[in-house]
Amino acid sequence: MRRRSFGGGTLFELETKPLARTLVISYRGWPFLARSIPDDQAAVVIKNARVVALTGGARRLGVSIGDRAITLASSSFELACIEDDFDFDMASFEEVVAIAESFCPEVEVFSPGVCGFNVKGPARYFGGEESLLDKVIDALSGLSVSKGGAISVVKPPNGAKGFHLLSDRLLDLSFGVGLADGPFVAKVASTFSAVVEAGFSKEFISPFPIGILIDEGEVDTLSKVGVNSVGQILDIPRDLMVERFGKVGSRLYELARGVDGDLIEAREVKERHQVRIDLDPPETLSQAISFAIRAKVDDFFTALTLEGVYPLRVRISFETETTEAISRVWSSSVPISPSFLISYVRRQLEGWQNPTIGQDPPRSGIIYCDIEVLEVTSTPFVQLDLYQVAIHPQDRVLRAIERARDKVGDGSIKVPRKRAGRSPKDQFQLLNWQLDLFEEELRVESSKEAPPWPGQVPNVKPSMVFDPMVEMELVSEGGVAVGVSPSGELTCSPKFFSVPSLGWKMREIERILGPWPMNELWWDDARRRRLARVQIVSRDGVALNAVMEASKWHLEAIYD
Amino acid sequence: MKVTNLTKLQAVVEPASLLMDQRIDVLGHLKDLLPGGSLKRGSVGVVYGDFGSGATSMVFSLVSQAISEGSFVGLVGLHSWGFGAAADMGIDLRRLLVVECGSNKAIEVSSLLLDGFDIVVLALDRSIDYKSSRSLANRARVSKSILLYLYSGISSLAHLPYGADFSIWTKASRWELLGSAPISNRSLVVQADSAKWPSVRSKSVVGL
Repeated sequence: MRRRSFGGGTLFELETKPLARTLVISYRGWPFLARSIPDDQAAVVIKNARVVALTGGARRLGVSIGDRAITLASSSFELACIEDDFDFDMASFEEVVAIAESFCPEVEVFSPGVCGFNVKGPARYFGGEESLLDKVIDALSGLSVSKGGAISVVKPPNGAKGFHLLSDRLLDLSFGVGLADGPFVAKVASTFSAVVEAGFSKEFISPFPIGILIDEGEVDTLSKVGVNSVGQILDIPRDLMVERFGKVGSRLYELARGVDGDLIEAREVKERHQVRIDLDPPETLSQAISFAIRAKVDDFFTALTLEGVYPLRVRISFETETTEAISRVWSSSVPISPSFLISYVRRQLEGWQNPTIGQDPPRSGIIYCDIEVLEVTSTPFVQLDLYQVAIHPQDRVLRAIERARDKVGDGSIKVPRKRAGRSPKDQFQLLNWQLDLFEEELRVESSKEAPPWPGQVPNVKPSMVFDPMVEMELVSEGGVAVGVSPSGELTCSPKFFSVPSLGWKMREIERILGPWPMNELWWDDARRRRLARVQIVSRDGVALNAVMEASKWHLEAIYD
Repeated sequence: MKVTNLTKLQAVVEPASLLMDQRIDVLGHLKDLLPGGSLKRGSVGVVYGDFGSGATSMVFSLVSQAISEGSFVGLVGLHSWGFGAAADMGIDLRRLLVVECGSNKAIEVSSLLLDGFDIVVLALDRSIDYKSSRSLANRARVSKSILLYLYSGISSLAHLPYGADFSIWTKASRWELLGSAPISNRSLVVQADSAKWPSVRSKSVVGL
């Protein structure tokens, strides 16, 4: 659930102020489009070792959202796995946002692949909604990413009223455009490329399954009490919804009626949720700006936290000495922390200063930055303890990382993640650190362990793993180099080993286990590997793994 | 009490912290190796030993209890970390940050990370100069974080880094070899020293 009313007033009467007509552009499967993977190729995006997005090709193989990454290997050899990379997706989405910004100075970015804007001004300027839609579609069609191939056109469920489809114009394109009252209905409409008439939100969304409003767990609860479509929520009185489901219920009630938007705007607290940070002298470097505003942002967020509210949607605007201005709205489904806000600031500035298409970068330094909170929630989703009552618990950590990153650059700061594989090197991978890796909820892994990989190194795991591997030598008592025969046996019994780069001269072997032959990726000519692995324990108590590949021994890992 | 009053409350109680907040617990069988039986916040420690003698495992097991209690740990420097072993020792990899960089950068980065991380492990291949080690020790003391030096592949240290409260030398490891079964158990011969102790302590640690 995203938006919730400020202050927890679940019992106030539903406000029925008209919502702004909103246009939403949504790309289906952005992570794949951004990497130019066609929909008919089988590919999935993996996050936390689970599938979070997939192409039509992958769906045909029987893969579905939420599958464990390790079970995928059994479904196909051709399946491409992409690690979830929010930063990359956001950065590549910049070109679409830039086009949207050429129609409206303030664009709201919902997530990578989905953005939108209020059409009130643009529609008047470009000669009406229809003509604006034409122009937006034309402009977006020019992007190479929009030519992702025909995606089967989905139709809204039977019974939806008050709209017309644009799909004939978008047949060969990879994006959808929706126009409706308020961002929520427009987002739903964009998946069908529909224009919903003003005032017809309720009629449009009532036949939809409730899955479009809330996430899985809550769908279960509602379907257990017999509510399956949005329309059925309309039949339930508001107090009952609130009584049974609390704030979620109240929000559902609003969404089902197509009511959505800036509830906070209607209140008098607005000025407290806004901060202007002056930059004196004017500054051009995005890095310097994010440093300069850091402290003020922290204070601002602390003040919000003390009020018990957490921002979900913020507007960031800048103005330069020569009165050029840019503003953009960022929204998120989890509360935005100061660190996230700073990264939005940085991305927005970098996009502005290095435009991709025909726009001019600002000509002078930035004199102020405005941050305005548009929507809040009262559920923090983050744990606060007594000692850090006012700040995000991980903020100290995040700030330290940010400083370290400025020192060594992006590529050297990493986090280890488990993945599937046989060798100690393959079982873990170092991902470039990015904000949402630490922000991700600590989910409880299912108690069932993943099945073991056949051929993996047994038992204790080595605490030093060399990547790349280090050359070593293995000789018999007489000084003859030890090899592995085609049938997978050692050619003579090894007695000594040496690793020159670690300064190890001939050390005596107490016991050698193996070899375990392995034939990896035998179906792929380019990447196939044949290797044999042994486990060695030396007379003086050093245990290690060695690998024979292409007639050479390599030190793979030490049990340090 | 209203939420806003909590900040006032915090200001009042802040100077007094509980004894448990000044220390970070370690696993039971490592208590004998540390002065006071736990890692003291703001202190500096050294772990060293030849490759294969168990120094890396020693570091992993020193921080594993802290991580399970919610601490974040930074691993800085060029070291071939084996995360499989870390995960087996109960380390939640989501609370580990790895910074790969050469010694000079590593020292600077450690000093930055000490501000936010509870424990920073600095892996070095040569001894650190007096000036840098002194500023790192000060940073650790001010930020109430713990700095652990890891010297892997070094079996004797001419002098400890400035401000080291304890040092652990993994002298040797002995693997239990049972027929043709893969290795599974070993005992480490460890020598621990602290300025607070009259003499060094030698101990055998099983299960690392």
